Amino acid sequence: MIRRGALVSSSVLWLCIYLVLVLSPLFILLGLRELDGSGFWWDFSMALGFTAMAMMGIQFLLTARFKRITQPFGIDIIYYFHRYFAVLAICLLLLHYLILKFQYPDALGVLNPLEAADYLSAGRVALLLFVMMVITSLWRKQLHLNYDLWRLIHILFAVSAFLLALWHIEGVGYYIDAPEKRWLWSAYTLLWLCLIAYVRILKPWQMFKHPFKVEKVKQERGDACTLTIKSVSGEPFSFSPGQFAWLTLDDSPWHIREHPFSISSSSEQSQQIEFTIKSLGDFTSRVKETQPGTTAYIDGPYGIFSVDQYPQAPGFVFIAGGVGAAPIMSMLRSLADRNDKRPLLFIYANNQWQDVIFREELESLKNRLNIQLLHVIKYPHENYDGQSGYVTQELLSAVLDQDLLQYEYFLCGPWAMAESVQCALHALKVPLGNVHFELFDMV
Amino acid sequence: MREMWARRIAYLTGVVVIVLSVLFAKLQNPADVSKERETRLKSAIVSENNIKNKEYIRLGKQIYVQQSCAMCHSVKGDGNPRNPLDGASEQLTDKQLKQWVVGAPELEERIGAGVLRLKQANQKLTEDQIELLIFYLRSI
Repeated sequence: MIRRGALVSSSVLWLCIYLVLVLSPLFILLGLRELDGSGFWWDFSMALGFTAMAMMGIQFLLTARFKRITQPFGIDIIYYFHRYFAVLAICLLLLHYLILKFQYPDALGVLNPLEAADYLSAGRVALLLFVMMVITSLWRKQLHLNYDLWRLIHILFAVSAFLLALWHIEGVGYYIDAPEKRWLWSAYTLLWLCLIAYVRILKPWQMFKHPFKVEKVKQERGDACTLTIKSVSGEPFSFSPGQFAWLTLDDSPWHIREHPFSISSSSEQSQQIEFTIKSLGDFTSRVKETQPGTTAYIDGPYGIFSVDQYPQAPGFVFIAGGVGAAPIMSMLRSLADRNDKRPLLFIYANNQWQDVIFREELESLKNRLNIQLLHVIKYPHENYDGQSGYVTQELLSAVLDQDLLQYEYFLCGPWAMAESVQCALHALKVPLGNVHFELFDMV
Repeated sequence: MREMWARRIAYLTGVVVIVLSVLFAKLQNPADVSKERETRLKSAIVSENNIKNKEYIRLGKQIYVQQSCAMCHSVKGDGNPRNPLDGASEQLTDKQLKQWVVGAPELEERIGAGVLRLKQANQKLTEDQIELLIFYLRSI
């Protein structure tokens, strides 16, 4: 349980560490030298190049899923940082190149890799790979790139581009020539290489040593299914309700075919965990065909989307759309198992009444929880007498009385819904610090 | 909303990085040093006019270009400004100048093995070509 103040100060601390890490090569490698400038544009371009390189190196740190780093922000926001910092670093790298191209064309030599110096070609190829990585990530869906293939390309390009860029810096040489700078630069490079080794070799190895097995596959409403998974060694899997994990099914953890899913079971029953998954893409549509006994690997739990982050809250409001109810269900089941009697409101939006996942169980949870349940159906059937349409500001203002404004709010659903509900809550004067959601539609 | 904060922090980081890079470049290039450089460039241009044998200079320059010397050196501001050659030959004898051109092993302690290797590409040049290159270097 972490207090909000502590979370804010630890976020600020991590941001400062990020800035120091990004700027340190600049000051170590360039700043410690005696004053002998090479012209404003040259030195500006070099500063940009080194900083962008440091940012690219830290990209590996951001996606290494270190819990201490991800905890204060939420891992979804860490992935957004990863995305925005990548775009920023690419802009800096392009600026680095373009300044040299137009101000000092002779220093770059010829473009043809057969005639050009190898370390300059390495730099050009690295830049090209970095640009391609950003394009394939920002527009993966438009380019019809399959998620698994995209991840493979992303990792291969990232590691190759990074190593080529190191070669480029090594080849240029004159900023890392003095012994003390050579030592510092080697230590910095070693840190990056260790990170790559940890993420791609050591971490999958740790997962490989702790396999799980699929116990049961249960068909749910709305073309979804629930996988019940248990550790082979029988060890409990501790998590907070609402958290998620990366799941690898029937594949080696080194193959990097893992997908993030919210845990839907109660945290009070940690001997087994459940994931409720809706058929939406290549991988998810095959999940329902999984056979009991299939080996699974789990990397997690992650996330701060949990009632456990707010132990002092007077009550909770949950707003979910479709399979977005999975983490909410984990929270409701856990609260019920703990016999928590705080007031709860669950607004649950679905396209059709027959597709409402967990419909029957939610009804029975009314007996164990102090919960008010409101279904909102987009396409109601003829005799449906409940709420229909969307979760709008009008609907929210009708159900949220003054007391509820101090509750903690958890949103989980499609991007458009999360955005519009967030704006509506803001308009209804719900403090934004009380509204929590996680975003998982980044690539 | 949280995504917006992530975006704002990235923008802010970008601004901080660019401002600090500008500051760094400014600190590395104070006005008086730039002026000194300018004066050196001007005197280099004057010295070129004083050399009579412009044909040798032209041929020497051709070799300078062919060997891509500008990737590591600059002349009158063109090329890599880390190692300007304007006036650099004044303190050196022809023998020393040749050692620099072909990356003689004696220089290893001063310039490091990597740079030496790059210079050794000039060992493929004939004696005449090296002389023309030195002629050109004397003219700048």
